[in-house]
Amino acid sequence: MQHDPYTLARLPVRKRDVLEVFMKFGNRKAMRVVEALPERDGVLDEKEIDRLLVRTHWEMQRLGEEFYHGPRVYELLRGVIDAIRRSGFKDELKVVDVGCGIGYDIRWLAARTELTKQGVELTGFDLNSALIHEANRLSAAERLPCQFLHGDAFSLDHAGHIFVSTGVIHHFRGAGLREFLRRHERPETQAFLHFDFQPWFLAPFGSWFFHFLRMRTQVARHDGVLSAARAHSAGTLTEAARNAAPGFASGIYGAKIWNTPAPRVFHTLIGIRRPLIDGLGKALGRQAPRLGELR
Amino acid sequence: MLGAQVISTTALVALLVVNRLSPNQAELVGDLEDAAERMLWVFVPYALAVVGSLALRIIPSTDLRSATSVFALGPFTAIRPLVMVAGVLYGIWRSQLLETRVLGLFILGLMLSLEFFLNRVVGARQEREIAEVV
Repeated sequence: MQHDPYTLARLPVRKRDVLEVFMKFGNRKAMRVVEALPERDGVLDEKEIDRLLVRTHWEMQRLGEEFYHGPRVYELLRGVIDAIRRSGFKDELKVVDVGCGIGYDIRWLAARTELTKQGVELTGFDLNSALIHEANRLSAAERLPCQFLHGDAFSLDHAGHIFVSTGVIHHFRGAGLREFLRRHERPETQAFLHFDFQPWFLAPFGSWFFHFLRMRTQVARHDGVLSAARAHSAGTLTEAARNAAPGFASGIYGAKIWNTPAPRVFHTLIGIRRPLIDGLGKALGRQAPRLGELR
Repeated sequence: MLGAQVISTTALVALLVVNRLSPNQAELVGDLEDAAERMLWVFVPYALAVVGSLALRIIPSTDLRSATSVFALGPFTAIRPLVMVAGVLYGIWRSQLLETRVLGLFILGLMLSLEFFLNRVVGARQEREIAEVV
């Protein structure tokens, strides 16, 4: 999918162009997946692509549920919110999910926690209108206190105090990653939490295994493996964050399982304003040792 | 659930038909009971492992709960067809009667086909649901 960077209007995508990208990487599996995508006159059929994306995100939600991702996000987010409140901030806190898809994280938080009753506004953003439409439909079905908007999460119209994301940051590479992190540098933003695969040698195999077991769509199966393979290391993430968003103390949360050397499947790039660091440590309590060096 | 009921009912009907038509009904019942007892040596440990993993999820730890999927429930899903084959073959291996072996293989075929058909049915339903929302 492609969008106009200014209007965010969707742009037509030629199947041939997508195939050429994967041909350059020698990724024949991806080429087979792309070959099977529906097209009209050489242009990928937008409605069918939207259906494919919704289908894939439905399957990803099942994985998120199985791996308790909602509670995982809440454990850390709760600590960050507590740290911000301890600093004296009493106004409504805006939590913004960047690239929310069908909004599983935000919907889980709205349905299973008291955050919205504690003065927290939950909002999800995505560039794909079909996914946002689905997120709003699912949210309305349960009458959840959250909202989903089609657009740029970092636009000036929507000031987020805490930005979160899941499985998004590995899509940004090099200068794109630094630019993504630079956009967090806004006066009102107090913290960011970006959850993503943690790279290690078994990650692509583990990802393939679970995507094969739990998903039906070829795109989801293939992209799941690729995502694990493309995941950024802790060093890459923290270096990019410290250079691009120096107003935050950045580090990695949850790299290892308990006190073992075993890596967690997901780790979290966390950035927080320096005056809040002590408060975060106190708020996390027993989970504070999971926090790596913040600087 | 419905699929499991259909499979179970089909298996029961097959069992009753074979028993009715068998000239050695008493012997057949004994042979089937012996085969079933042998199958339990494979199926019960597997079932206990699954239930045990699910029971661990009572402990309120996000890491532990997701670990049960990574290290137990996921792999158990992967080996489930192998467990079915191993259990049935172990059960019928020492059977005395041809009817027992045929029934065992027939029911194994039913079990293995269930997941395939369920995936097709649910996949088709999912496509209809997505066509309604997009």
